[in-house]
Amino acid sequence: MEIWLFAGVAFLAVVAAAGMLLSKNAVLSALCLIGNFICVAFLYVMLDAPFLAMVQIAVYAGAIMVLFLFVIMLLGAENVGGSAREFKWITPVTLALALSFVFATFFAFNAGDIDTQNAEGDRPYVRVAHAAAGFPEAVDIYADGALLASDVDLGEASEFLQVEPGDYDISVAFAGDDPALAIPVGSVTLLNDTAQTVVAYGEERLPLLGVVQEDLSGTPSRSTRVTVFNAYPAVEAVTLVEQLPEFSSVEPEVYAANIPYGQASTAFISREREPEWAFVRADRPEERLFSLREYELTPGLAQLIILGAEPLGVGEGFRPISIEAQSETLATFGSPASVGALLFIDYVLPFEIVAVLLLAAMVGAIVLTQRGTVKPKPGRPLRRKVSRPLTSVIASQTGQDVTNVPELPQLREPEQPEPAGD
Amino acid sequence: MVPTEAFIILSMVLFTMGAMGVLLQRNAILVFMSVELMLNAANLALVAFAKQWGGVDGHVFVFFVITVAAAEVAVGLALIVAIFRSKQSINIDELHLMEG
Repeated sequence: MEIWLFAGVAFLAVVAAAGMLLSKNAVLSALCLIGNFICVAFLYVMLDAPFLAMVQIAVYAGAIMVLFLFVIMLLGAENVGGSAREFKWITPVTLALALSFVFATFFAFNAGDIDTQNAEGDRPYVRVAHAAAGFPEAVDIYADGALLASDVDLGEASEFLQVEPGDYDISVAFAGDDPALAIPVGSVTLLNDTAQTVVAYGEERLPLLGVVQEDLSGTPSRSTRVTVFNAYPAVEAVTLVEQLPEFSSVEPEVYAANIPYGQASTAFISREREPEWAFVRADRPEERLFSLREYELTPGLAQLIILGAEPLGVGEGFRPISIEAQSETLATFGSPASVGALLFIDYVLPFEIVAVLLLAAMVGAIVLTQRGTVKPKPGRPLRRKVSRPLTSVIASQTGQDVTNVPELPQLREPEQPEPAGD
Repeated sequence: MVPTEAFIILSMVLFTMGAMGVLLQRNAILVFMSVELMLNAANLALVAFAKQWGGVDGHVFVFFVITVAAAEVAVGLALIVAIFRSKQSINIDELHLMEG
């Protein structure tokens, strides 16, 4: 299906390019080129580059091609180039060069294997959470003998770590204890491009191991992705519902229904900032187990809520607690966020250089197209001619001859350039 | 899933057509448009490889190429306008400014 879509768009792109080359009218050529750019923008979307597709349409098909059309129509250059060429040999030579280039690249395709080579992917992320009520002490957690997280208290979660992919045996020891004494509790498989939270839970002395597959891809704007893990030993399954006031007649909204003991819910997206949520028994929804009070969700994060338990005392049972672990989500491949992060962090210097280049191009375009301005010719001082000397003007007005009067202050005209005449 | 090779072949075909346009066209504006077609074909290859290797660096590079193309078009069209004003023609066969 997708390959046929690609074939259609690619065919349109080639047809548009051929139309641009073969058209006798330059305006038609420009329109064909716009069609080609739109086809390429479509292919960018197929290649997970929506930001570039938008830039392609806005900058290429919009700004640049409008500039082309403008200049073509300004110069009346629609039909230039119909006369016979001066260089007869250039057409066959060009065709031969093009054919040889096509053959060379096809040989390269045969020799190499573009598609069999692939990126390895991102190394797996892993973190641990301690929800084992039967093992309430702080623990160190080891994976294949290497320390994964140290001094994790009951009800805490560690930060995500990146590790090599593979199978790991997880073992647990008292915090600060000898790693050789760690108790093996289970094993997990970590694959590339995944993120897992390993949860130690259970009411027995030997903790059980639960794995929550986390989705760290970007969330929709102003929303949080929430996953719930049930590690509460007293009931078989829990449900996460909206917490309503007492004796409310409205049916509460259910967010994650019927999560079995030791398993995680599927992730859901929440747009709420301060949700009023509660855990209830799945079989008896009226029995509230735990309320998330003064609970806040940060938009753009992935949130893991573990319903755990802590022992009240010897033989007195458990009290429910909640463990919250947040993690940053990763920007989606090709999104404006990921391109922007790279552009303004790793490529700031090239970005600035390109900005200066654009400025220089703008100034250059203005200078090139500006008509020569009228300047005063050098060597001829500009002075306004006075028809009569000042002394004779005064003489005619006062009736006295003022030629003997000592120097009058001379009024000097400030030198002005001639007004630019059109 | 469209193989990367398909995109590269399309990019190569478009690039060749652009190069032929640069060599064969006599209207200076059409020569410019062919250069844009070549740049666009190269961009397509960059985006295809960025997808295959899972890095966004290729997208950033395409962004720079588009910016430089915009600068180049601004200066190039200004040059064409200036040449047209002095020569009354933009047929590149008739322009022998550099002839000795």
